[in-house]
Amino acid sequence: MHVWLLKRIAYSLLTLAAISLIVFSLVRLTGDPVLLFLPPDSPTSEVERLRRQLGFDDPLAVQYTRFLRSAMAGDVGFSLKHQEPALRVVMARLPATLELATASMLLTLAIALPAGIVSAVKRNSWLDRLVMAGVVFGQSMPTYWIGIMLILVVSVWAGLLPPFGRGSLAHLVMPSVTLALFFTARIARLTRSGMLNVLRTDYVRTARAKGLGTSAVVLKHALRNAALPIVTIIGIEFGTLLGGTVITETVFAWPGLGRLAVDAISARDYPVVQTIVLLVSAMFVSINLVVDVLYRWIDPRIELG
Amino acid sequence: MRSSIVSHLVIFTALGFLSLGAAAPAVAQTGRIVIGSPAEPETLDPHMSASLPTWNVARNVFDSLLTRDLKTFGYKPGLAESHRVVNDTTWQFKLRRGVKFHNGEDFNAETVKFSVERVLNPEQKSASRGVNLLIDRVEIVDAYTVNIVTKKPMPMLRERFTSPGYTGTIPMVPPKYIREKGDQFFAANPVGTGAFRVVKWVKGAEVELEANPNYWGGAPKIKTAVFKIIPEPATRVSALLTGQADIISSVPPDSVDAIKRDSRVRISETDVDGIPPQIQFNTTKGGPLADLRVRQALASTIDMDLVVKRLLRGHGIQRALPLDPRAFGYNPNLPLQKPDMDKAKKLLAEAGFPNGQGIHELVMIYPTGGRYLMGESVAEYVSQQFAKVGVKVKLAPAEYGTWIAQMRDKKSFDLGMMGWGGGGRFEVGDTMFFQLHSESAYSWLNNGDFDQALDRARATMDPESRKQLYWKAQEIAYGLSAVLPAHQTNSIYGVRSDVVWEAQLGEMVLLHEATRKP
Repeated sequence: MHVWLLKRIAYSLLTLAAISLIVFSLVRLTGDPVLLFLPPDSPTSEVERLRRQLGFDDPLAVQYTRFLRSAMAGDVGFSLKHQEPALRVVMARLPATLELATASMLLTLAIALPAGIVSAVKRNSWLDRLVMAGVVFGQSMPTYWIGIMLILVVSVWAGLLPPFGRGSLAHLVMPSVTLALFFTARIARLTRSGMLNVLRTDYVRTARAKGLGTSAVVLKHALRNAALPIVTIIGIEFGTLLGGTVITETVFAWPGLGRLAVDAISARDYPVVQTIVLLVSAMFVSINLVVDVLYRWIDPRIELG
Repeated sequence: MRSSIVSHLVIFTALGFLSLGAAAPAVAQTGRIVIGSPAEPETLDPHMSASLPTWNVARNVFDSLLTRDLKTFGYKPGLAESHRVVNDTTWQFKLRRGVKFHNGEDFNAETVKFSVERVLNPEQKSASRGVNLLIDRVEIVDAYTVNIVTKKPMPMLRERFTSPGYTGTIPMVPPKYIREKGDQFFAANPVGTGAFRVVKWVKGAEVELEANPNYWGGAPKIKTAVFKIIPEPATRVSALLTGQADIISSVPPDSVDAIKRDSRVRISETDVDGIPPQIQFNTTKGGPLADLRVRQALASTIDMDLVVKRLLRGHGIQRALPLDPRAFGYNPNLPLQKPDMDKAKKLLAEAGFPNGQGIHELVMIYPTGGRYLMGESVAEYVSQQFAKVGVKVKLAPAEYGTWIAQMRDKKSFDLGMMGWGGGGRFEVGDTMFFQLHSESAYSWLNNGDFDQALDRARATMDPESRKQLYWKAQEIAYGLSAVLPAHQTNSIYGVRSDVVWEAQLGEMVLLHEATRKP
């Protein structure tokens, strides 16, 4: 187990190193931030001077080595645009993203798991069809449209919730509902099909024959055995949410990482782009690691290594 | 029956939300004005940014030596009570006494010297350095008198010391505070001499300003101003309609009617200053566009008045040249160009390209993402008009950062859309140089007569002679048909009916005079 974990961590670090190289080169292919930083009537000599001063005219390999060396020392670069260390720029936006991702995920699970289980237990009934149609409908509607509609109906017409921003619980409702509507379908459908497979198995029949109640059979025996793919997909979706959800953040003026990333890319703010990508990748990789550990806990038969 | 189930469902859902809704902030109280802006200030150090969101907040926090009369565009005293030209390269400013920064630090001659040297110091990497290279030094005459000495005559020097300014302006910053706390701390916790001081900055969300009761220009009428960042236009409009914002900027033209219909809110708009979005011909790479007759022919296909009325829904105005009529040096005698298809066809034939035959497909570059009001639609309109005389246009829109690099490439493209709205250049010299002078990185014209006329104007200290020279340069540019008929777009704001504030030049949101009706 320990050897396995160490190996996994080593792989994760390798993955991150590869990602850093890719991001580093890609973001530099699109031009540098100097043109976007200076007023348009700055003389070309000034543009060149600042480029040199910031090291953007060095060969890519030199720039990358410089970046790696200072990153090892904990310095991921300085944002020209924000006049602040990139890490501080990114960290200021992380809480908002964590908050929205967690709330959306909890809401998604609160809808998707019961919906999937009920559909499986009552398969092919009207309830099953209604629930499945409902979740697919939620996913099919464009996030942008749902967001705007929620604002119009709930905020402008009904005056119930603030239309934008972050702060109170009330601010969190509409963005997380918007995201949950999108993320529910996959988890609900996966839960349903996983449960269907398990409910057909012999040990479930045996459990029933023993006289266990439906809820005990479904929740204790069936769900645990159907959980593996569900946990995997939850991990992936949570990772996606942590990466920032640009459209939802934009519509509800939510100050998260997604919008920061898009703004940073537009401004060619290399250090911020790199920091966000690396941070999100690190979180994604960690979640995958956790999912793998959870596998073993859920199903002790699984050999790790 | 069915409808009653639905209505029950709606009420039930509504009740569910209601319990959470209690936490929603109430309508803004008197003395507080909330501004909904599309983008966040990047930093609040005005020496370190050329971006409008930064300046929109910074203009309320920082001052410079002079201020601008927003009606006449003229100069008024600011942190300097008076100024005079000592000789062609020396300007003397007498400073206002008793002015203090928000942290209590005194404003004096040392402040001016420090602020100017900070911008010019290459190590500082100030965004404004490049456009102030003509400034040589600041001499302290006494504690409240400075001489600003330039390397060559710099008639537009006052533009750099007039607030509310924009890119290139040098606002006054506190020397002691910056030396003690450092640049990074200053950028996040700015201290100025302005009407408002920054009290809170929630990154990505809002900047809260509080009135400076000791402001040398008189205390503001409101106590608090909050700039809230709302990137999505539909959300900004919703914020206005629900009273969560009192002023919103960049209202999309298709939302204007909805705002006009609602008595609680109103529209306030004004034309953007600076260079209206223009479409320029690339005259520097040879080929058909190097021929004046071809450019005149293509310009004659454009009905800019129609563009303004239909595409811009009236939120703009046609101009002879892409210049702001209020800027010093604007030539009001140049006639607006009228569409004339027959003339266009005749000129093309004369130039040897009957029905456009022999003209390769022209590539037009422009930025995406609504940077210019209806810019994408204008580009499409132009391509359709050119097609009517047999000239094909390939539309090549690009993301902003890519497009701006393309505009500097003088060899690859034929038509380019560019503007410089709210550029804060209130004299035509800078804007004309930027768009048409051969030494400008963004100009696609290389004409010796024009360059010479503009160079002379930009070095002439006497205002009357300078104006005449500007006029001459504009006549040359007009005759060269280097740009398509121009139009100026409006900046459109939505305002709560009980808020006293009107749209200002240069996309400014100055709040010193803003107030709320009792």
